[in-house]
Amino acid sequence: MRGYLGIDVGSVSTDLAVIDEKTDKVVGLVYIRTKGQPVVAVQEGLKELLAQFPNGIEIIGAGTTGSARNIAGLMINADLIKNEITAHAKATAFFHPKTRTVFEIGGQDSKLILLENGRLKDFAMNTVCAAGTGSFLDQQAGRLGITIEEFSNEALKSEVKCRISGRCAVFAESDMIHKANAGYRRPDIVYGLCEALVRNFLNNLAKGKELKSPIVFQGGVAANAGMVKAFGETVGIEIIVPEYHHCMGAIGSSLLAKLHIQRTGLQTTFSGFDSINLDFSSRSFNCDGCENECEISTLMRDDEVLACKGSICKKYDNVTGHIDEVLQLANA
Amino acid sequence: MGTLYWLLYPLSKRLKFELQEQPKITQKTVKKGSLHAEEGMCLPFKYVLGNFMDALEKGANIVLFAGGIGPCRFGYYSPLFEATLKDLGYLFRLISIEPWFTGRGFIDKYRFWRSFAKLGRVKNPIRIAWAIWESFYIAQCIDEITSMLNYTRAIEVKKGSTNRAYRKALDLLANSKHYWQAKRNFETAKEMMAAIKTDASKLKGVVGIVGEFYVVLEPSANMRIIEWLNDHGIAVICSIFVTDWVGPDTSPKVAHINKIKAHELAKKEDTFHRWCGGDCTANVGHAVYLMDHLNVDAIIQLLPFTCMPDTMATVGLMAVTEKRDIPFARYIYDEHSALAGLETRWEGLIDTIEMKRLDKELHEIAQREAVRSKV
Repeated sequence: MRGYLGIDVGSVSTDLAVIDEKTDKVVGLVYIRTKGQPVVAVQEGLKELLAQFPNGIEIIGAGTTGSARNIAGLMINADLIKNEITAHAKATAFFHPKTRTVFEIGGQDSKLILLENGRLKDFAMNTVCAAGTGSFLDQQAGRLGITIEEFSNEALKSEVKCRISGRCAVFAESDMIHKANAGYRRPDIVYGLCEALVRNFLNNLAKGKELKSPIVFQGGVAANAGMVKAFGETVGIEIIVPEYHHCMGAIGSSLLAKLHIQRTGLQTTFSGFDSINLDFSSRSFNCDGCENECEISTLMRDDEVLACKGSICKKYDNVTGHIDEVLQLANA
Repeated sequence: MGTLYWLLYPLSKRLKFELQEQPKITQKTVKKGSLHAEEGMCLPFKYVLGNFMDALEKGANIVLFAGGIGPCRFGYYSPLFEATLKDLGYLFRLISIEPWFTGRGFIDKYRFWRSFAKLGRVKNPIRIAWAIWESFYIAQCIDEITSMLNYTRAIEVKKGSTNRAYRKALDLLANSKHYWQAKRNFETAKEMMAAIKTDASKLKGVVGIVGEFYVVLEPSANMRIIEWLNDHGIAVICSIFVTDWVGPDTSPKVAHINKIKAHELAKKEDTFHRWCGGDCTANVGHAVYLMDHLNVDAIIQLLPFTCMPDTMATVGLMAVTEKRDIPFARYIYDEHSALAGLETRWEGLIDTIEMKRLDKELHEIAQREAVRSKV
């Protein structure tokens, strides 16, 4: 079997998807938590993915996306490294070609993507505030003593409106405590929080933009039925949640990789599943070269530096070699 | 700030005062500045405060700052700098250059002359006026070259060649002895920039940048967005340059139109019906000009967090870009901005531009096919 691989390494979750070469069907899917270690997460994910194909699979194109796309791309020698906005737009247009609006709420960022004829037309991403993203919901669920899965069911049981401030995560939390002390039931508070997050999303991102139907809601938070209901009620249009809503980034990335391979006619550079067993590690250090004190992040195989990123003066752009040599450069 | 140093450098030679080389703005500068500035203060204040502290520690004893009656709290910044720095125990004299057209007639002109006379050993008003005019001309030439740089760097064949040529041109212009030499040097500099090998097929698009002047002009404040875009094949047209901002409203502008014209353009749109918040309407007008006359593929607005005029301009910019179906993005900066998150958004914008170009091409092909089938 031959297929295209896509990897989306996000702040909270890492997902991998394989689509079939001819039918474009999703044949392999892995969804795990990143836990702050993108390198380990990619290796784990590849291991799990390989286990899904007892007869083996040949990867003829690979793409990466997400906030750790550069590291992941280096690890597997990806053909295409693309940002998550384009990847999400591509995947949505593939599953629901008529989509005009995409709400995407992930672990640490939220996006509003507008499509036209299946192409990216405009987008907005949260700028100065991360309130209202997956991490915050996760944390609040933990504080209320319920798992994030129960959170979803709890929200649907709500009967009474409970207004919670969504402007800032800290204010939202103190509002929730206050409402709990005032005697509100937990389901009402949980649903009130969902509504607050929806309000925050629409106020921040959708300002001045026309939300046209059909609307697709995806990302990890789309698994939360309470959020879907709150979106539907606020916008007044039915919200579609795609089947693979949590892995749209990875699927989009594999679709983009396919497009790239077909367009250029190149052979894939994918280094195979060998990278599972190699000792990859990432390391960062502060350059002492000037007063900028740039934070340089490196990806290493054993002690060999594969790439560096983050310098303003571009001193490290093409540096490879032993880690000690690179560190010497930092003190120069 | 940006090329402001190159306005003062020729002036220092002519008015005979010693100009300290501007200390580089680094992370340390920002840290220092934000430590001693009010938290809600805008980003430029923090940057400049940190920069002044660096300069004073290096031995400067006069701090030169522009005053003004401008759109925002800017005019009040020089007394604030003076108070903050004096509180911190620095010994210095602050000279604030107030504009000479605030409407108080002769008093304005006198105060304007006095602030320059205090700077150096030259006191003769005519000589001062001539020196200012010459330096201003040189700085304007430098800004012209900078605007060429922002375009040429996107399509250069050999990476880094434009930057090298730019630095040479800058050196040549800044050291011009008098007006006529500067004029000749400007021609040479233009030729140097034009001689760079370019490949027009590399160009992925042209974006216009509007916004708050400090963030647009100072590369370390905007995370080097212009260079980054150039590296990715996007040419940039800015709506403001140092001399555009420093000079009087009626002087010729590097960014093609002046503030008054920009206000008029903005008023013709259905967004603002009267002058509103200084640079606010001007930004909208500049965006309209960039879209209608220079055919940019996208508009970017850069602003510091808590900038009032530009926060208002956003609404107008959204309306005018939507009307013409041109992608619009705004990036808000504060001292915590990290590059990683911004890069994702910049890449997203580039993709939007590319998709739109692709759509246009497909549309044109379809139209041609339709015409052919009719025949």
